[in-house]
Amino acid sequence: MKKNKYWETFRFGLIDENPIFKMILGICSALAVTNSVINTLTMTLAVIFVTATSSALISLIRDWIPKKVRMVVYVTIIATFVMVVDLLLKAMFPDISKALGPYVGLIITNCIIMGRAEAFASNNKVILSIIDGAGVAIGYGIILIFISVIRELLGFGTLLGYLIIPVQVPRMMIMIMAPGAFFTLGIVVWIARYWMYHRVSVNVDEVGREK
Amino acid sequence: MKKSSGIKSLFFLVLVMTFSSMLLTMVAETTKDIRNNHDKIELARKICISADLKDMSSEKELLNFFSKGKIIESKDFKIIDFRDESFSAVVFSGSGLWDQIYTVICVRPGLIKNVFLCDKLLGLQIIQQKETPGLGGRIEEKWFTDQFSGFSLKKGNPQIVIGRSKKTEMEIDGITGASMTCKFLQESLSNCIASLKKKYPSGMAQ
Repeated sequence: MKKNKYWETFRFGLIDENPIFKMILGICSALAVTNSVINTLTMTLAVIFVTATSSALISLIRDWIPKKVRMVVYVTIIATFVMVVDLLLKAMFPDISKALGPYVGLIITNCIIMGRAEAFASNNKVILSIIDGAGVAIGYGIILIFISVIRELLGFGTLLGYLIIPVQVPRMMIMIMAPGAFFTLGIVVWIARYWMYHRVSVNVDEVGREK
Repeated sequence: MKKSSGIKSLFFLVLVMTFSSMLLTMVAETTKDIRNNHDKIELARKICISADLKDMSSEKELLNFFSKGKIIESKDFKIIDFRDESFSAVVFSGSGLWDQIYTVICVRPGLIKNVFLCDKLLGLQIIQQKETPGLGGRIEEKWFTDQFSGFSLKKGNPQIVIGRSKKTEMEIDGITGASMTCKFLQESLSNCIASLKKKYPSGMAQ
């Protein structure tokens, strides 16, 4: 039963409350960092780390946080973990840190993390909050990686820097620019929502009962 | 009741911020040496690009090259003199639109026995900037920085032009949509050259 609860929380964040195709959150970074898979992977790991750790800490101290200043506390905690990630990236992966530029710092303003802190971590236990945070962040990451694979492949002809499409094949330069990101994101959201609608409609009968 | 609630909130905030500061200080101190080393490699790489030294690519080579430089710190700039290669690198910073822009220029022949000679500007590279991505952030792009190569500072400072194409050889094409960043870069470059002239009048006047 307990295992089910954890899995359900994880699945809920991953699919039912997916920040990209369900809630349309975190779009700024989704558009900015998806021109290469390696940048997207790093961004995804950073968001997973920040969402899980900030959710864990907020959940741990939720009973002591004064209601009036809860938003300030959430932002301070989130900003701290983002800056930790930024410092670690600068020390361990300086090239990726440079390529991501200001977008690592902008994780602070990512609505996904603040949303999970307010909606879930402030009302639930630590383990569940970590699972919820990780689920939502992984859901965000999977979509981002999917977009980045399409963009890098069509824009540069490479995957993780390795040449996949022969040099002779013309590249779609639009895919590495902002409009390419918008088109790809729109198509991915369309497909994901169609799949979700189809998934819901086959699992629910005519009077709305789950099959 | 209200007063005690306010004090409790304030106390809690102080507690959270103390925890935050301690954690950040701990991580920053732990990674300080590694980050400094990366900064050194990055600066050496930028100097090599600026001075068109193509044979150095590995981190070991870059660190070895950097260690040969003689560093002279000043209030407005830092000179790293590479006598073996007959040039000096000048590192300086100036305000940008959002944050400081750190720049390096390489000058030949550079600092010779306390005289700074600027016969030729070998190149300019941006070490660090936090300008708007896609607009001011483009000051790092090769087409823009390449325009600074080969200038003779004897004739005057290079001028970045905004809103039109360059007309004379002393002008440099600015970046569309980044007029403020170009203006700030121009200012910091001019200030650096003015400071160099002030500190080494005999050499810069030649």
